[in-house]
Amino acid sequence: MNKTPSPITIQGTLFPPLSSKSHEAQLYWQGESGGKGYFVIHYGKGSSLEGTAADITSEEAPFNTARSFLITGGARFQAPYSPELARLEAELSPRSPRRLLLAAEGNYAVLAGVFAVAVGVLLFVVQVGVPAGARYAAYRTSPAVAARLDEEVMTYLRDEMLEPSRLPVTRQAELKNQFAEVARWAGGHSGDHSKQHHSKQHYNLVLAHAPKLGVNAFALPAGTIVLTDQLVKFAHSDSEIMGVLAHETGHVTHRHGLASLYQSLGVGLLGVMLTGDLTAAAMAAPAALVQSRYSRRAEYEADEAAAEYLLSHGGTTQPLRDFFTRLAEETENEEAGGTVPEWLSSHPDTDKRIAHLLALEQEQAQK
Amino acid sequence: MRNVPACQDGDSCYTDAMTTTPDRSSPSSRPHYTYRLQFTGDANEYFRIWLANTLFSFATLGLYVPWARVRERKYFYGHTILDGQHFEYTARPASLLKPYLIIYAFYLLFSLVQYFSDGSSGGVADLLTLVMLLLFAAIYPLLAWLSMKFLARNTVYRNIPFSFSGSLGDAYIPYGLANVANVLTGFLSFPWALHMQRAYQINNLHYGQLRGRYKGKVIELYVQCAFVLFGGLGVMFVIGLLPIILLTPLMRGSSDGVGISYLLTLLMGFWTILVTYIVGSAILAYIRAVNFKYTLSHSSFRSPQGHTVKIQATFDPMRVMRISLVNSVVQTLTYGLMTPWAAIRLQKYILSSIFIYSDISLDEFYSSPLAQESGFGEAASEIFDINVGF
Repeated sequence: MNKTPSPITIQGTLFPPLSSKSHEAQLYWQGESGGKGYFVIHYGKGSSLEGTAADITSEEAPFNTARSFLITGGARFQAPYSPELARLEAELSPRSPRRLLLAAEGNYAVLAGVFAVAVGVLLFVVQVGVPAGARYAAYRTSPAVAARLDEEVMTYLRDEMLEPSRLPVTRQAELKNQFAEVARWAGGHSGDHSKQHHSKQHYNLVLAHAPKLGVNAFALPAGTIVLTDQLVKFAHSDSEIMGVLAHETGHVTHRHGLASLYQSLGVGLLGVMLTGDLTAAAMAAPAALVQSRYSRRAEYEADEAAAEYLLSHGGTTQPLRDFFTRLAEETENEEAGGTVPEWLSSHPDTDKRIAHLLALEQEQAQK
Repeated sequence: MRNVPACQDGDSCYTDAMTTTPDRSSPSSRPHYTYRLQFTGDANEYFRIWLANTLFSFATLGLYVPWARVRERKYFYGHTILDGQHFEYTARPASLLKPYLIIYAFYLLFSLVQYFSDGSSGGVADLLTLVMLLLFAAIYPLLAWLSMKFLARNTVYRNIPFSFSGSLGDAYIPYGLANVANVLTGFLSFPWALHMQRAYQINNLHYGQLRGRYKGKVIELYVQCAFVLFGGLGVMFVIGLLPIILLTPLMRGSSDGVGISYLLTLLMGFWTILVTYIVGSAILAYIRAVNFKYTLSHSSFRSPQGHTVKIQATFDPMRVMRISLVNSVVQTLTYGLMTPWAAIRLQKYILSSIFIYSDISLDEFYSSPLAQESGFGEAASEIFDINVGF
């Protein structure tokens, strides 16, 4: 196994230490195993320089690009790219990854292999790594930070689109009363921010008149749940409303809001780390794709929470299924008018979700 | 050995009055050498290098980016040839990793703060944004200074590295005060700021025993900027606004067609935005080219012994503008895949039009061992490239 590599000869130019004087030169290298060897450089009229592998370092450069070798003492040997030069580099630093780099830069077949690996790594990170990291970070976020987020978003929403609820005060009290039971079931309590416990999840139901949002309900990270008057009127029964609210508590307990925030930050950061050469358009597409996939998964998780609540309070997921069906019909009717409620556009595959709710109910019945 | 190799890019060849050999019979007592820069990069080859770098960056989630940047720059330097010898970029990518990570962290912090400042105005988040921007403005001269030192030190030609001797204190005029003045005067001081920056850059640049000298004049920069600005605005007016002004009475005339006038308004808006964008980026590319040419042609290098090396750029800024415009259109249409092609095309045209006149043989430069050792070289490598990177 102790085979001695064949010697290498390279034509180039030698510059003495600290000088720009060029001399035609010839480098002769005899390698031994394990990155060892010795070199002799003949230059000018009968001058020469020699040393061992420790006395010569190559300045790395891309494929088919001239490069130089630094000789201890300050001399510099420059040569155009050639297969011999690549071999000399490889023998000087046998463990360097530059071989793979040069192969990829010089050969489309190797480049295609690198392409496949890079796409695989990136897909894995974006589809699995970033969501997992985002979920982890969401569960580790302190309640104070989440509460601050809720406040900021609510201030913005109150400025832009939320007005105080126009439902009768008694009706409002009734809904809040019923929601207290949902909140208790979801492992927390409902009420004012000032009475917040640290151990339990806090919920705060906000009833609002919001024509811009239409039939809608949504949850913020710290447990603020907004319910529009329009949804209350659209619902046929209070259990439908409570089903929707239980769904929203699912988003809170699973930290979906924070996770999606971290997710988009993570994808954005990844974009910044990788761009410079890629246009923003090329990055935007995968980001949007991941986001929609992610939110679908979140909706299913929240539906499971809603189903659990409804099954333990009445034994059927019927109210929520009815609600979804009517909402989907309503949306189809309104689509021509161009007022698709946000509620549905972010809740894809209504049919599948209804089937999912039904399946959860049947599963419960079999137990 | 000393002959400038024949120009291969027939498109951008200046064959007339080109001196390719040292002309020792010039009237002056000193010998006179003329060289032409040559760029031997190839688009197809650079495409593979660029793609390999991009893919490695992807596969390492961006950690490879410093290596990729250095490698790409090495390609351009290694294919830039003067008198048969190539330039070399000698930066160590590992020393750039930390600065890059700092930039990533800064981005993360900044976007987090941005997210929080969305909700209300006058909150803590807005204050933080302001503090971060001020902090950036305050350290910008430092970053510019470090990157200039770094870039000079890592540019090597014929075994002699360039070096930059400007002081940090002096950087606060062209990169601190000048920027503040630009904001305060609504960019009326921009040509002056540019002049100060060029003077700082060139006058402190050294190569061997040579030292750079910038002879540009502020007034000429004002004339250039005014010319480009008014010329650009004129073009924008003629092709952007004039059609709209002419069409407006036509629209009022057709009282019956509300739909048509609506469509016309929409088209006009679109046209204005398109023209503004294209003409705007053309103006930017043109002024850059004009200023680059002016800077090169007004820069020279002198030695204490009285030797002079002069630079002359003969490229046509209009043509650089056209190439840049076509480049950005093609890059957009191909989702960035043609970026390497565009970069090579521009580089080839600009570099092969640069001539060097020297009254000293290029063999006769020397650097002192002290020059290589001294300075904040290593510290500079800590924060490098921010200027270039931004």
